[in-house]
Amino acid sequence: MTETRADPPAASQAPEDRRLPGEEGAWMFVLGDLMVFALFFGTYLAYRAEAPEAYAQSQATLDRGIGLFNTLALLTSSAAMALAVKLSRQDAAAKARRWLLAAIGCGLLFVGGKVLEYSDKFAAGYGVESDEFFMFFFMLTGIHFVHVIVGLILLTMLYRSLRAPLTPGGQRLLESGGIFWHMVDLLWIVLFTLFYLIR
Amino acid sequence: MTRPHLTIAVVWLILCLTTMMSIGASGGAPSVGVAVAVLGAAFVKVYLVLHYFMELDAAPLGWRAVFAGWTVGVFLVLSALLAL
Repeated sequence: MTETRADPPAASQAPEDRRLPGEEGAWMFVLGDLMVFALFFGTYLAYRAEAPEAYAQSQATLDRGIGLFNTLALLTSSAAMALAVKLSRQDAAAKARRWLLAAIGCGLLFVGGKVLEYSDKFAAGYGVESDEFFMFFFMLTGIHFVHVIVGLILLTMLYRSLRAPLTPGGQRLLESGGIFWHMVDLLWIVLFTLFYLIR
Repeated sequence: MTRPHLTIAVVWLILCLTTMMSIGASGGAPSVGVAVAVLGAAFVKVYLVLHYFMELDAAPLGWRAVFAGWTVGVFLVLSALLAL
């Protein structure tokens, strides 16, 4: 297969033209992570089914405003990252870097929102040991938060190394970083729904 | 604006609007029906991120099938758990 920096072909292209952006290893990691989180999601809902009123009571203390802010921050960050990858294929490294910076900035907004939310909860006396709901809430969003931090470190390293012209290897690295970051966004979409919206 | 950029912008808008609609929909009296609908909307958003941001729509069909399977499978299992 020839190295190409073109956008992946449209869905109507022949099978031999289809390609995965980034390294296949990144996709294998994403798949593994999605499986683990699927288990987390299912476990949460299974336990919740045993004590729905107790869970609803604790859930009512969550701040949906911060949840919405965090969701919009990550969605926007993901979109900015997607744009950065598209632009990097068009020999527009400077523009790509700007959108990558925007992605990092929005990611930092998410971090700020999470820190605010966690500190509020801790100050009010809620923690992992408070009850089952909060155990799930802090553990699952906490593990996700670690993914966010790792992702931001990755994106920052990519930002610093993004120089024109991008080599095919550099292109794949950027795309792989994007794949990880979109996974972080995708996981939050489900976490936000399970913890903040489903009552 | 080029076409790929327009696509990303439109998908982003749909993601944000769907999020707001889900918040609105889940604000009333809790019900399994609303919960499943809101969960469904979340997995539609997951699909949009997979296909348009992660470019799965141009990926080899095997990979598309795997992630489509995860999306649909997890949604079905979680919906079943909601109905318990």
